Amino acid sequence: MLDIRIPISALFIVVGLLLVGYGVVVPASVDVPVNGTIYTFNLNRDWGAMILLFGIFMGALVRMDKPKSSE
Amino acid sequence: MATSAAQIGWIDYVIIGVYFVFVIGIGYVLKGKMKSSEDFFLSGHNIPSWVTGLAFLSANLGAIEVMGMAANAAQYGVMTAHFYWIGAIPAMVFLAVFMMPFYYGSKVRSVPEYLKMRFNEPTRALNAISFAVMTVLMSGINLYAMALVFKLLLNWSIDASIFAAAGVVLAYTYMGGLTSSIYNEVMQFFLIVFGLLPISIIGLCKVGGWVGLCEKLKEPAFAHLWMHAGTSANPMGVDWIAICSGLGFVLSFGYWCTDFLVIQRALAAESLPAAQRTPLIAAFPKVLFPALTVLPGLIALVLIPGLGSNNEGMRYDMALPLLLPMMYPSGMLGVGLTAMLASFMSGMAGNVTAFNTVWTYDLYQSYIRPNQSDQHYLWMGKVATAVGILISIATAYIAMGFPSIMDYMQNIFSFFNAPLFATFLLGMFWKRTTPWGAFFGLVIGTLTAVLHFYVLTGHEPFVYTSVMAGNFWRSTFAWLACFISTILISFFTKPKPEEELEGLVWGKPKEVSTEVLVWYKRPGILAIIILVFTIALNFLFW
Repeated sequence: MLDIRIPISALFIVVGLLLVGYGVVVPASVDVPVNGTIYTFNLNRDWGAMILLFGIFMGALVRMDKPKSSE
Repeated sequence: MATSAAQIGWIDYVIIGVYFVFVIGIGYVLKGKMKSSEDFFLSGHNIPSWVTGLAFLSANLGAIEVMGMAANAAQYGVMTAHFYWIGAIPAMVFLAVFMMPFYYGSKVRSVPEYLKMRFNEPTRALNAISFAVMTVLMSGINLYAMALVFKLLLNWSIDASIFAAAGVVLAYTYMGGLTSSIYNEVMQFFLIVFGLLPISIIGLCKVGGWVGLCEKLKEPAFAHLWMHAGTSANPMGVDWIAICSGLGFVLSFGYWCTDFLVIQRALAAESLPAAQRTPLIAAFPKVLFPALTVLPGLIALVLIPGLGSNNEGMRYDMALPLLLPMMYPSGMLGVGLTAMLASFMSGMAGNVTAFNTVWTYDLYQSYIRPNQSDQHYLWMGKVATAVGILISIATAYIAMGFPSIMDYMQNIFSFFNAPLFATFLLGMFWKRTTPWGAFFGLVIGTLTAVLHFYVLTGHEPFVYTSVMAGNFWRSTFAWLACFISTILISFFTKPKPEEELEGLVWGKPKEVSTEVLVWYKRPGILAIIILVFTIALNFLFW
């Protein structure tokens, strides 16, 4: 049976790369006030990187588990 | 204030398109694995518990959960978290520890099939028909909710949205059956977390943190779970008795312990301990989900002036969808919209896969064409999938006629799930319960809910301060009517011989698992951890 972590990993890597790339080329800042100070984030780039990391993490789990999954 | 469609850019469409490619791709890859009806309907009992656990949770993450709970939070405040912490977790733990051994151990393929084995054919038929009707109604609600969001946010045509989403769901459920639905539900779970979490984080910062949010809410009672539940003079209009009996006991246990939509996911697990872990694994993220649904509802109440007015685009249901373009630039907006789209399509697919199983096994195979080949039933399951989706399109248009999706839903649950839980409770834990006691008890319980809703509500003493209060009390009455009448009728009718109850009733186990598990895989330990954590959250938000 297909290991569900493979499509999850692939989807999140693709979406993460799209977001990071778009965030770098077309920066859109989001202002977040914390305790009176305004922090500015490039949300697409930063959250896109989180999504990308999650995709890589899922892919790494599949690779580490490969002998077991291929049974 | 229907938000402008101009905010969506090409990148958002690309992200939505990528998601469509993946969901259909999963169905295509799984197509070759669907060799038998058991593969198609029950995933061949071959899915690991972390996958069935997340699917168990995500099958319930449809329109009601994502849009409805945020809407409820904007309308009723933090008390909406009762739907999680008293209205879900205890029932999920009870299902895992006490009821799953009967469902999984008896090797039934569906909930109605359990009723046949424990009671008789009429009880199974009654439940199968009512469940089949309920699933296509629910599936239609998900389709309609999705179309409404996309029309108001993106100016997409309602008809085009309904047919496009129905087409995608048909493609992947037709090809990959339950496995495809479960896999997409797991993917949807992660999409919802990554698509909606920044809204809660950014929104909470914008309103000045939790303390700032509580100060800005229009009523102090909006920020508390139990403090104002001593009487019904609170935003939800229900006191603690109605919360505990109606929501915490009847509606909650009625849904989580008997609804085949969620139980089907656990039945797909690879072993009994894995099936028992399924609701418990689901309970851990479930207990934290108010951060993704209730919190944005409260934030929307503060940040969106006029939310809850009569304007269609400003209904409470739109609380979460309206926050998306407010918080996200193009790009993340596509991720947020994909998360919502995934939740609606998954909610629909879950209902369709439950419908095709109950139709094929409990109605078609039992009453229309018994003794056919397995390939014939596999073919019928695929036909039922297509027909179920066509009926869902029709019921989406029926759902359009109701002013509130949530009220419509809770009515359906109080009619069907509330009395059914009394039947299961007695059936599993009192061996004297007779087949005819169960059948007539179920009929009387359902009729009590109908009588309460259509005749009694609005007349003293059945006057309620909110629709929700009426739902909670109706469920309690329906459950009580079923419970008492089942016991009374059972005393005057013939019970099943004890040898036929093996594996179906408490005290008559068929097989006992002797597998020694590490502590974090033991259902009892997981149950205690999740209950302690849930109790702590109740005190924290008291």
